[in-house]
Amino acid sequence: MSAYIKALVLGVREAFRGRITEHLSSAVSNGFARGVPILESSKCLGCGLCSRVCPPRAIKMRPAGRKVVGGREVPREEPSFDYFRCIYCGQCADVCPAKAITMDRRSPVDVVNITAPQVLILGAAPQVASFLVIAALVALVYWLSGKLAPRGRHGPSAREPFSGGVPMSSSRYRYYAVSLMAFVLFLLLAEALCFLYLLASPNAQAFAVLLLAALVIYLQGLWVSRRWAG
Amino acid sequence: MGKLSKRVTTLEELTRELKAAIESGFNHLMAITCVDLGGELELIYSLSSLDGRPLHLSLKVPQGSAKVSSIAALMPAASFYEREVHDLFGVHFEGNEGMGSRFLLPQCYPEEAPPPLLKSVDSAQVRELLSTLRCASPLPIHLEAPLSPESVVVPFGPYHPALKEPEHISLVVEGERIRKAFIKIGYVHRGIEKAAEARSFLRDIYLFERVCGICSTHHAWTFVEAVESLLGLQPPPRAVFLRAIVAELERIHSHALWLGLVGYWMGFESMFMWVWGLRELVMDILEEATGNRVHKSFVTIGGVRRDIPDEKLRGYVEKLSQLRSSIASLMEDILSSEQFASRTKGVGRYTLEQARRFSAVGPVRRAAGDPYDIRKIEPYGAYDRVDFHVPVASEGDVYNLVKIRLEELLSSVDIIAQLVEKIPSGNPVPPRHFMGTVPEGEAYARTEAPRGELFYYVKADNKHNPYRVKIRTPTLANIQLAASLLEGALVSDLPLIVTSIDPCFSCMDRVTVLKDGEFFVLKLEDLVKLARGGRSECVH
Repeated sequence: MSAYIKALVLGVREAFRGRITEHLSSAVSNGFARGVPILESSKCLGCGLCSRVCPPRAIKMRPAGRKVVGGREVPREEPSFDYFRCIYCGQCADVCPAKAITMDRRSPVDVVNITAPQVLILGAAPQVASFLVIAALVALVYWLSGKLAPRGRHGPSAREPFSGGVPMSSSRYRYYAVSLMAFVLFLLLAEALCFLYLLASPNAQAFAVLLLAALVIYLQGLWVSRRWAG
Repeated sequence: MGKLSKRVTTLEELTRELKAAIESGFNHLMAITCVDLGGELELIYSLSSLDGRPLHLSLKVPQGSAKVSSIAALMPAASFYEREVHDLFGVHFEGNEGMGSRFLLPQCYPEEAPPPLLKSVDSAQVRELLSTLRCASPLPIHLEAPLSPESVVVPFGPYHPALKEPEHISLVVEGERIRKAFIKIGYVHRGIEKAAEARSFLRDIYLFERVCGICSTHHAWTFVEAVESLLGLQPPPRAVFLRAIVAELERIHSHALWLGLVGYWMGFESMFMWVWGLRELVMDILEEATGNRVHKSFVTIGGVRRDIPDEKLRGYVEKLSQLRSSIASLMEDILSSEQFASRTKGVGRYTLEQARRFSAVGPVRRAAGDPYDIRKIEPYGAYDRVDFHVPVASEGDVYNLVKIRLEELLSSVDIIAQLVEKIPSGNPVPPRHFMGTVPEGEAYARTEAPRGELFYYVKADNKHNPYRVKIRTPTLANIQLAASLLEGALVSDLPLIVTSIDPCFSCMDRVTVLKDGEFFVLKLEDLVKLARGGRSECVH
């Protein structure tokens, strides 16, 4: 029995101390890893050599403003890296004539997080991504049902998608609470927004906003439950 | 090594010429290369003598209904090579027993469909055809076998706990004895040779590195060696030394990996732990030297990708000398252990005669008694400047294979020490990376990869991309011997015997994902789609 208690205590203690396993970045922080290609835009000539040599074709040339060549303005192109295709061989940095591409010795995972805006959903953990998608869908359904509901002499349930056309009965009325629905909707949206913010900029400020939102949700929940009970 | 000088022969002359070649000492078949010249096919039989002299017989046959007499009776090793050519080019070899079934391609690939490696065939076409075939449905694998009433056919693989890579072996079993073994390969065949034809030489280096995760430097080096001889390019002397050092480090890590696996399959898991622990040291050195643990991307056309400073090299030698003493004591412990000896001595026994007949390569050949080491007989890189001993044993069995590989580990450490001592100064990195065209010509290269002789054939025609690349990996040469060794063995020895040749099935099949001759990364959705597709196939 004491062994079980010991294991329990150890588990709780470890939960506060942080994970036992090594973080991925420690595998590349020994200074030997080749690193991740990062572009220094101001140095780039736009020659496209990197995209020509890239073994898995992970570099695409994208238009990026204009440059002046021989007194004339011409469109300028700049490489953009697909870090999911990249094999991190460093050939692009080797061939770059202007040394605009450097191999940054970091874990690819960290870099993918930096380029969050375009890969936010994909880069996030699957649970988070699916949560965001579901939250957005629920919000859409509510919004649509509000728009589509017939106006006129209808009960308040007409605005509600799941019990819409069903006549109200006393047994069902017990479970019907507009404020509870609104609360759930608010919770989902607020949480989704907070997660988005936290993913885009993982810093203390975002975390504080998340905490604040959690507090608001808590207070609103208290208020709703008191009203519903009353 | 170098440009190909071919002796032209005809259909009628082929068998006679081959007989004459075998009699004059060219009794090792390196590869049968087929090249589509547009309208006609060229078959190149690459032979080698035991002292490293090559002989290439060239034979031109019309495309389509080409019929060539099989040389499998003369050289049993040719059987698999001929079947490969049959699958990929549609050449019919009269007298080869395997012509009726598929070898690398899926069994359901129709006979009348175009062979995929012909120049007129687009890879998208092949993909489309494959997507319409019902290959995922469980095909009964029928193998004609002389069955006695007591014998049972046991399918082994393609997915089996004792196999790390998918391969199918049909075993005809009587009690605990295996009477006959049939091997079907190609479960991870994705047409890397076709993909290479659509990419530039520089990009191909990275592609070929990915043929094998364990001997990646050897694949890159062999390809680069062939391309450099086509270009007439002499890499800087320091680069040649550095390539050899990294290649030897790779040999140490590969042999250590294999040794651990052998321990694992014989139930000696402590050995697995010890050896893989030692191997970690080499992996760390490789990471420090090249920047990656597995795909080193170190060799490039005209040199190497980065220099390793002398003081670092000396540090590696010091670390490796510690490894050498641990390996030596491990060798003493393992080889003198009673349990180990009784589990391995006489298991998977073969003679020199058998090894020669099946053109076995690498440690498998040397265990039987031939000092057949490409580093010695046809020195490439810096190997002619070091003095080393090629370990041989008198008879092939698992015990001798372990012994030979352990001795090779020690000799690799010595080679590295000599190379570091003799390494010249200079800049090994080419001033600019090769991105030009390669003049017309054909060249072959072979190196001693950890698993044995690795053969590359490259044909260029003044373009940025190769016209044809042929890879013959060591496992394809050795697997035929392994299949014959299984006959008469116990079922429980099967994993040990198959592991003893150090098989790399994916190398043999040459895996990559091909789409329109472009590299194509499978996404999660594709995998899900594939999985769903497979399931619905089975339901039908």
